[in-house]
Amino acid sequence: MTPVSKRTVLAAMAALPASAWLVPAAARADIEVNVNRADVQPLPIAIPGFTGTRGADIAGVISADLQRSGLFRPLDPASFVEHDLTVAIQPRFPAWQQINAQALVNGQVTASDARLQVDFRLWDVFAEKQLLGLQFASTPENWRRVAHKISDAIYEQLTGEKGYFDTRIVFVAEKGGRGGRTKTLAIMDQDGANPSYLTDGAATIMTPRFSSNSQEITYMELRADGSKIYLLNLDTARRESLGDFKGMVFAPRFSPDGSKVAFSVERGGNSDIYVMDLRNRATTRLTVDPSIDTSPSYSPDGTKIAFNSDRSGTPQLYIMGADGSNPHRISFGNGRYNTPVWSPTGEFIAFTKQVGGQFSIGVVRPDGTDERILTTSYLDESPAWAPNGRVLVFTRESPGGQRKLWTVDITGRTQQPIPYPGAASDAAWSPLLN
Amino acid sequence: MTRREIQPAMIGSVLLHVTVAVLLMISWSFTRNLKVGEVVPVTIVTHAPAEPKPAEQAPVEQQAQAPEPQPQAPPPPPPPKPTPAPPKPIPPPPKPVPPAPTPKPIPKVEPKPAPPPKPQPPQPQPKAQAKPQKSLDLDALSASISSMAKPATKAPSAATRGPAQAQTSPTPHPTLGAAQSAAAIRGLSDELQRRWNPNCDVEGGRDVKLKVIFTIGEGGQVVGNATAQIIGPVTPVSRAAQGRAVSAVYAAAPFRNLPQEFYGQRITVNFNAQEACSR
Repeated sequence: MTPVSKRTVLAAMAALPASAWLVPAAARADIEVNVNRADVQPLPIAIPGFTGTRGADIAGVISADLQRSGLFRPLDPASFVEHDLTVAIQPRFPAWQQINAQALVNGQVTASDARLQVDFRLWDVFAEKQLLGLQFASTPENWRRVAHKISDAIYEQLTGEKGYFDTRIVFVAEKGGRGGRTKTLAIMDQDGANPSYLTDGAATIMTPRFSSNSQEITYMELRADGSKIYLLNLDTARRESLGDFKGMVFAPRFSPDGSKVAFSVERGGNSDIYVMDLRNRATTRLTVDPSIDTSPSYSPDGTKIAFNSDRSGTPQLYIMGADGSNPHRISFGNGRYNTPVWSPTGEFIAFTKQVGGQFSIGVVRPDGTDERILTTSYLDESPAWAPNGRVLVFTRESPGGQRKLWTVDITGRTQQPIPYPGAASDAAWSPLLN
Repeated sequence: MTRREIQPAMIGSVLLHVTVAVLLMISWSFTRNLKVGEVVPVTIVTHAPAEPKPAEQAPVEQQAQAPEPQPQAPPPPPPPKPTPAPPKPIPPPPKPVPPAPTPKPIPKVEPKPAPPPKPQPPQPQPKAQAKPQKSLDLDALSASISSMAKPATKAPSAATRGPAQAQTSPTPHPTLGAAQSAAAIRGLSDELQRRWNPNCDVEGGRDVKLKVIFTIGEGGQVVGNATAQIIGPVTPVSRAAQGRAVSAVYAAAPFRNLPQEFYGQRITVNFNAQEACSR
């Protein structure tokens, strides 16, 4: 082959689509193929009912968890060809390849009076191999948590990210209409199951927030004679007040290590941000500005605080050092920005944005770049992150309707209501349960 | 005298105890109305065995192209299971086969069910032995450039699994044109693209680049295991992506439209999520 003809060949190869290149190796004709396109879709996964008591229920919870994440598409059980799977024998993979399942989950439940044991297997249908096999044990009434733990294990195996299904959401349960509305502190599983109420509704509860490393929450309680910030340990049910302050205290939030609580204090029309060290109850003022500074939220490393201030004329997002140093604005778009919440990964800050009569939930990088609006409606507000930083819970109100909790993923594509039957607002997500 | 000195301390002590008791009562009254969701522990008892028993193979629907004999253990004797498909006689394996120690026989032969239920008479086809490897003929490729440029060149469609394709498997051709080779590779690439489902929506999922290497066997099967290499940082997300890319190769196989000259060839597929996720 002459050099000229080689060049011609190379020119011809360059003219080929990038997806189909022939690159002959020197010694042997290895073929190299570039794949630059894909069939991007939620992963089709088959989750037949587990065998044994509660087996179908457990599979149903797993299926709902994965579907709600937006990353999985559980297949219709009516399409399944192979039945009577057991955990001890490999599935007949062609039967699952035929329905284009990329992954398959099967399991077995063994229950006695006091013990529930659940085995499950996760299979790669086309590679025809087992990816995961675990056995969980708990009490029979705890079957939903077992299901959530299995969901977390599957999610982590197939995405590489930590799951967020074995978690709870603390929120404000609302009853009654405007004027006579009660706001009660409540908690439920992340999928809306097992709601329970932590206060009796005598006082108005606002802004409950989870500690990022324990089952402890802080919230504001509003009474006729003022407001207080409380800490509530969910394991021990002990509640304590941060103390009395001059003025109205609100918007508390834990530092990442749980040793401090930052909050706002309003006096004479001016709000500033303070932080209390829970170990010695020493309080430090972080902002000194005649404007309204509120909604502090720590970065995951605890070195910075995002907050909301109208010092520029309209509410905008700011970041300062955890000691109050170097406050600087990061939002410059149209509209009013509120309720910044730093993601657990540190990558984004979620916020509420109001433009005209519409409210949006959005995210922006801490340097102020890459602002993305995830949701927009009549009233979307109060975002809070799931512990893996991929999903947000927020409050949505439709005209004339109840306030409800919704979730949205970081892409904005998957928005779903949390199936809690009543009105609810102002949610916060727990870390993964132990 | 002593009593006078001790008395204030005692009074203080009593007051202190009373105060603590009152505080405890106050604290109790706060917590009594709190009904906290109970967290019952769930423990991981054990990790399951990595290699469970292989499945009993259901009667395999025969394809037009007779598969290679499978080194597969005969179904263990077993409690007869009702199977939905009508039993079909399975030709006995030509060789006695040792029990497969792993569930995955090599070469992997996928019994893809043919869409029409009508059984196809097996057509004896000249079995192409894996040939000694040839280098791709650049001269031939050069000679056929003009024909490659023609838009009318019929590339294999992505629907290589369609019935018509399956029943008209290409007759081995001793001297394959470069244009056909290029088209066949394009078809392979198309099939992989159709089967690759990267996770673009997790953090770092869009940055993943991978190489998957495998060898093509007779009938376009993947011979042995496809192996994947991560190009760039190894993270949990890139490891999960590795599995998806390998799965895409197996899902796309067998590459029936590949001419037999590719049999025995080693294929390296570069999966680029950066580009795939941005489209």
